Amino acid sequence: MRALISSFTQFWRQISKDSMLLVVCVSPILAGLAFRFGIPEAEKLLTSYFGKSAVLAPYYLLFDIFLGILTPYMFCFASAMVILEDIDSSLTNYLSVTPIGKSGYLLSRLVFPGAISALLSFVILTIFTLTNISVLQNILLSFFTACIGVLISLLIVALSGNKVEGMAIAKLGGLFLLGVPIPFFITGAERYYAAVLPSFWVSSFMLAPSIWNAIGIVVTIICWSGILYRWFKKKIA
Amino acid sequence: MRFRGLLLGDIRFQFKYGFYFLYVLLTFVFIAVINAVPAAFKAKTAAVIIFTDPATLGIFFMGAIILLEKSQRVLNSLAVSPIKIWEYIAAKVVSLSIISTTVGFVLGVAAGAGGIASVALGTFLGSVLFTLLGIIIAAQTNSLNRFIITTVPAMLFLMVPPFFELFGYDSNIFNLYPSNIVLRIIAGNAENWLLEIPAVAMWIIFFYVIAHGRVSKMLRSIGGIKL
Repeated sequence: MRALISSFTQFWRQISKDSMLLVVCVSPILAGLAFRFGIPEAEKLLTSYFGKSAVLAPYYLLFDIFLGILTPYMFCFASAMVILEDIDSSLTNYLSVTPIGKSGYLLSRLVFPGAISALLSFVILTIFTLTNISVLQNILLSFFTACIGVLISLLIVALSGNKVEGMAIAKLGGLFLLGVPIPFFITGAERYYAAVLPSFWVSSFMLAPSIWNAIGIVVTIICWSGILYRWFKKKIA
Repeated sequence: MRFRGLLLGDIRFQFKYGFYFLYVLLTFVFIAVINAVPAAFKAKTAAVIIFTDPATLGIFFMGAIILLEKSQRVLNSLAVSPIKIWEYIAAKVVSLSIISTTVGFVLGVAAGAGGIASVALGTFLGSVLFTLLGIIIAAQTNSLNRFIITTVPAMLFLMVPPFFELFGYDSNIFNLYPSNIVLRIIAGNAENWLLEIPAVAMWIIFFYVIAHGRVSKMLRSIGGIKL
């Protein structure tokens, strides 16, 4: 455990030194402020402009989900970049033969940041929610979005051999979030084309909390993490 | 000849690291998004997508490209080779602009934009500007996270004013602002070409002069000592 904490402290120090820590903590707050106060104002302008009773209001939950995903996404992106730096400098090879091991390295670089981001996401959503989601919904959303954040970092590291490929995959990783708006805009059976994405099920679950949507989240997260973890382990071998 | 070698090297590098594959994939996604919006908003949506993604890919990737060159000691070899700094910068700018301009052109066609040449020209000019800005920032950073953070204010500085203009806030202050001109050209709203093209060319020269200085300093200080 001491080795794990030490490895995590090293990671923490690294992102603090780069001011990345400050950015990943401050930007969700700024986004939260913009969402909480900017979107209702934009709604007023849009409703009067188009002469409709609601334009953005039916999608407030969508904004909440994006806000919930922002903190884990930023935290996990920062940790993926740190891992790529570690791989480029061959640090991962040395760390994997220390008491930390591959799994410990993964815990300290991905799971710990993921857990912290879930906590922050919960706080941000509690303060800035547009829909007054319940505490239970908030806990579940923060947990699932943190899992998606961890999956995106795994994807970045597992599929890239260096920083350049990492940035390319990070761009591709954004497609992982493409499932979020789909249940809001596509109601036909064709929406299930996005069923391989955990974000699709998270969004569906928030719209209609059912056991099937919950199973969808769990199954997609387990499948993706199983595949990506296998690739990730090869990468830091 | 040296420039041709550098250019081909950069294109090969970008191909090897999946830039071409990534942008083929992203182009399909962008086309799907453009097709999903109502016909009246297609051209505007395409302009926003082109301006925020393919035109800015240079600044997004430049940190990783230069930092990888640093860590693989590519720059050490380049520093002792007879290449000129302008050749190094131009190879990066041209190679990335090929991707940007091609994607911009395809998206313009997909959106049924009126002036395709204008879309391609705007994307190219945007790509040159943002790639030079990426070089300016990357040449003086030592970590990817720091590069990303440094690009945030630069991106805000360049990206916010054009959107005010695109969504109706018209101000003379931004008439000759580089990114406003670029978005205007991409969106087919450029009216005063005789003023706008020289203005954006001046901005490119200004960015190039700074990038030249930064790359020169970077190559002179490789290996821990300053020459």
